[in-house]
Amino acid sequence: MSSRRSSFRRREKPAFERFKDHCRHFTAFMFSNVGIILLVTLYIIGGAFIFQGIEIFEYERLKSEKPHRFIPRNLSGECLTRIWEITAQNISFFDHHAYRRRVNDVLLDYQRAIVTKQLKGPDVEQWSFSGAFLYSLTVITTIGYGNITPHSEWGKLVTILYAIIGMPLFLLYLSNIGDVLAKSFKWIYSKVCLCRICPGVAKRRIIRERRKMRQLARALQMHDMENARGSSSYTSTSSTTTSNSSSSDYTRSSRQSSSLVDIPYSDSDSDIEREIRGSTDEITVPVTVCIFVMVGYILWGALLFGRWEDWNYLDGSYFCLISLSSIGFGDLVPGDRVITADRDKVEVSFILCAIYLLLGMAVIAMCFNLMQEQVVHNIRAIKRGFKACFRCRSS
Amino acid sequence: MSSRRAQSLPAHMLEPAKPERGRCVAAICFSWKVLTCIVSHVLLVLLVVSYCVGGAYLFQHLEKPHELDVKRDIQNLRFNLTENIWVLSYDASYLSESDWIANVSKHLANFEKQILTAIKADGWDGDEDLRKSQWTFAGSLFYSIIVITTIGYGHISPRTDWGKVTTIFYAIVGIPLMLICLSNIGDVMATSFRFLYWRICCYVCTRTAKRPRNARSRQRSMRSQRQARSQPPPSFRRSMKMTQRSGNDSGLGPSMGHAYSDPELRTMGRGYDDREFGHRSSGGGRNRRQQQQHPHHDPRQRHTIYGDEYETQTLNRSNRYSSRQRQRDRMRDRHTVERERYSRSHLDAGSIEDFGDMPPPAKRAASVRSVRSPHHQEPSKASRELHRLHSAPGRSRAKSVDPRHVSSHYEDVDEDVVRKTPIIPNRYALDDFGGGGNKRHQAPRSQSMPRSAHQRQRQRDRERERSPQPPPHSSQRQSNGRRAGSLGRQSSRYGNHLELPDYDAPPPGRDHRRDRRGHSQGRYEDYVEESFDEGSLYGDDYEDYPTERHRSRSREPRRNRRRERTERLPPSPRIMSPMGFPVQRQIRRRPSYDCDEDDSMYGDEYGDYGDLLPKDRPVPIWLCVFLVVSYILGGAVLFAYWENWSFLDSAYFCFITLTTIGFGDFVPAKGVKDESEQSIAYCSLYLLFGIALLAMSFNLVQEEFIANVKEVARRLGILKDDDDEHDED
Repeated sequence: MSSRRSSFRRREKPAFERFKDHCRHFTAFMFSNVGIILLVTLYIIGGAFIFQGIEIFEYERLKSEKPHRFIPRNLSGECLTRIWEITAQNISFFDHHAYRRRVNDVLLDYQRAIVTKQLKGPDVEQWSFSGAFLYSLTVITTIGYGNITPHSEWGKLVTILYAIIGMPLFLLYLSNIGDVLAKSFKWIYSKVCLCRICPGVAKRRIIRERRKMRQLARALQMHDMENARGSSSYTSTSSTTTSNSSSSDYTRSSRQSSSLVDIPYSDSDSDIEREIRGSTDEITVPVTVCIFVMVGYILWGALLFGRWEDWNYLDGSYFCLISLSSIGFGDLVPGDRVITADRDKVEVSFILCAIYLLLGMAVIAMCFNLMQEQVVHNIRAIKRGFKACFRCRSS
Repeated sequence: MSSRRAQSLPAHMLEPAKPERGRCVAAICFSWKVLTCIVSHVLLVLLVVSYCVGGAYLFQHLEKPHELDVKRDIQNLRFNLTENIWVLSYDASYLSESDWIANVSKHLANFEKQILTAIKADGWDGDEDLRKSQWTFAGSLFYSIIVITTIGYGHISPRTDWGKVTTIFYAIVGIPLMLICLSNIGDVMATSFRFLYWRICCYVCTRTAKRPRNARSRQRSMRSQRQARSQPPPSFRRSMKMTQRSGNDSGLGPSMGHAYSDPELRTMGRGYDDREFGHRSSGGGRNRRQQQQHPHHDPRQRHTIYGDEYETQTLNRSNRYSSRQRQRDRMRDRHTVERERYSRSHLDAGSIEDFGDMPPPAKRAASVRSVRSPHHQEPSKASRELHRLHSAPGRSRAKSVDPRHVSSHYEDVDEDVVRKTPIIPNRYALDDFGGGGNKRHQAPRSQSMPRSAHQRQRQRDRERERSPQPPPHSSQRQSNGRRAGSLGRQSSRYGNHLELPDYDAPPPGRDHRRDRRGHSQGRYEDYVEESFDEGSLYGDDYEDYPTERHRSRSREPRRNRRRERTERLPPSPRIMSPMGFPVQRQIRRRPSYDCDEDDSMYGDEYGDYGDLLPKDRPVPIWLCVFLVVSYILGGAVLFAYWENWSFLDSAYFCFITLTTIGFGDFVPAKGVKDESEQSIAYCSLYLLFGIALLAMSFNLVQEEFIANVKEVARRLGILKDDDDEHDED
């Protein structure tokens, strides 16, 4: 859209203005594509620092206020001593059942303690920089794994504000990058798949297509003429108001036919040259290709994460899909395994995951763009056909 | 999304103002409409609901056994441990504390590890009661909703392989379905909300807010009523119907004025010229008013003959691009009309033509032209004389019908309805009119001054000479001598705005166009151009937009661009809603914001919301924001009550839920186990309605919001004029 408008602007302006326009376009491009990536990255990093600061500060404050809650309990030791006491009391082992029941109770307590500890999560250790980075990423992408969550009130408030600002920013990023990717994908598609790189093949292909189009146009014209006859007789005989729909539809079909007629009948080389070198805007990428790209991206991610995180293939693709569709259950989270092992590796894993997510959502947005174009195109065609049938029957 | 559009479009197109139709067609249309409605709304919602329920059964079936297995495993694990400890203690010949503790701690460590694995990998929630399950029907239903709304709390997630695979495909199908449904619901809600807001809530405040404008229009209406004398203004639809029917039934009947009055109405409905009309009527006599009124509907009729389909197309388009295009039309109207007026004053004598030797299309053209021309004539002296001499009773009668009609109901004209009214019947009415009616009309004149073909040719030549370089304004005044005197006010208004635009690219001569018209199978572009040129002829009195004349120069080149735009299919709109849902951007008639300078002109037309359907009226952004915020806060209160959370926690929960982030650190039905189904039901209702509400409010404000953001961005210098794609959200 912008390119179309700008081309019109350019036409009506003198050379200097045109030059200025070019400059402006360049800056706009810089801002819109490169700048937005920087902006999002900076926003995420800033958010990571903010959340880390808040959570750690809150933790420190709580710790200083209520130190008893933060003394790590030796759960297994407690349990052990309790069982030993029971064992020592029942040294005679008269009552097997009673002993077992009492030991079981102790073990149940122990188990519950473990579960609560696990489900509550280790609070502050998770708020490393990489964890906070992933957290802010999941907030603004609305993935929301929930493996790390703010526990302080300020953390929650700041999360709300952060999301309110961040989500539109991320959407802006998505639409921009999605557009850029869509354009470049179209270009690549036109060059590679339509063989525009090698002129000979392309030429033959276009000639073939034209022939087909011409046949179609002829058929449509015939159909149109019949339609025109039918509709005019219909309106004149009934002398009523024709429905707007049929007239507009008639318009559309006639326009369609006229545009088809406009296809040059000569298969001249220059014409084909022009078409080959023409803009790639008109090309619609088939839906299957888009789906293929999406599936390929997810499988690639499954492969990568399978290597990084030791997930199996199903888990990897499940994780990728859940993340990229922004569902984000959080049952599988990158860096989970590594979080206990090596500190450096954690960072690397988080960063890679972040890059994968950012790129992936843009790719998904791109595919949706392309698919939407195609689907809208198809539906319009179907509608036209259906309308034609409908009108025929009604008249 | 696209399918939604596909479904909603026909209904929209078939909607109003089809006065008379065959019963069969009407039935078909009605059933089509009903079908569309059912398909688009009821069926879609039902589909989503059944999809959720089916998913619930599926996941319950897949996951519940596994969950029970995990619980049993945990129990067995503990029993084994107890047994081990018993054996350890029993078998020991003597119980040394250190040995015993070393052994048991090894067992305990193993036990802990296994529990942790169960929690992490198998999603064990720490509860080992076999009667309770996360994957009850309610829980699974909640899970499916959570999946397809992409909230994804993660408090329950599939643990079996088949569960994961099913989830993947379930999400792939379900998410788009949910999006379609949501945007549909959002649409409906937006429409009804707009209706509520404008019709009920804000009736009073709009009245008061638009006081001056309304006062003016009331004045106008009073004036017009005075003109209409006895005729009370009927409701517009009825009058439309009436005029059309009469125009159709009696294409050449005595009510010739009706045939006129339809397009007249249309132009009136656009609301450009009521004021001017008032001025006119006050300035000149009745007769004069009639004369001046006619010019601006005739050309329209003419091009309904020639390019009727294209005409409807431009009209349809103008639904979409309406504001700009109409404005441009207005612009060009002024030019062309001016040109026309001048040429007509010279042409007038030659306006009567005999059609005998013309090919049919040309004949029609000529006939219509000649029909028009007597009304069009500018009071050049000869024509004036003629007029007086042959003020044919028939014609004057036709005229006297006309303005009354017009004036009686241009007040309550609904713009959309007008634009949707088909034009074809007019064409036929006019066809008859052109064939037979003009005889009736023209008979006296053609008798009195028979014109030969060569004279017409000369006229054309002269016209061709003149039309490229428009006359200076003064000359026109001279030629209009008498008129200028009697219509002092009006001509001064003309003088204001009819400074001649520079025709640096002279438009094609009229006869050139006429020649082309002879070939009925021109290319579409020609038609478009023609229909624009012709279409712009009607309505010569848009003096109410004096700001525009300064821009006439800069606008002139834009014409091309805009035409191209109208020829294009509407750009496939894509937009992401705050939920991350791509939502179809509404192509809706609204003031174009990207031309800042237009606002002054729109002030007149668009400030006056009285003319617009409720569908097109914007709802203030703050209201929507207020709605959403209050929804979140209300939800916070409710959840704080239901779930015993603190207020901040529940507000946080609502926010995280409605934005579909869904951390899952707060999930309903986790604290109070015995009422889990109830709270799950509350929560799912809350979030479904909330997301629909978000979609609605976004639907309501998106255009305005984007425009505002763009404006801000432009002010800040972030956004250059040209990048449109900087749409936020």
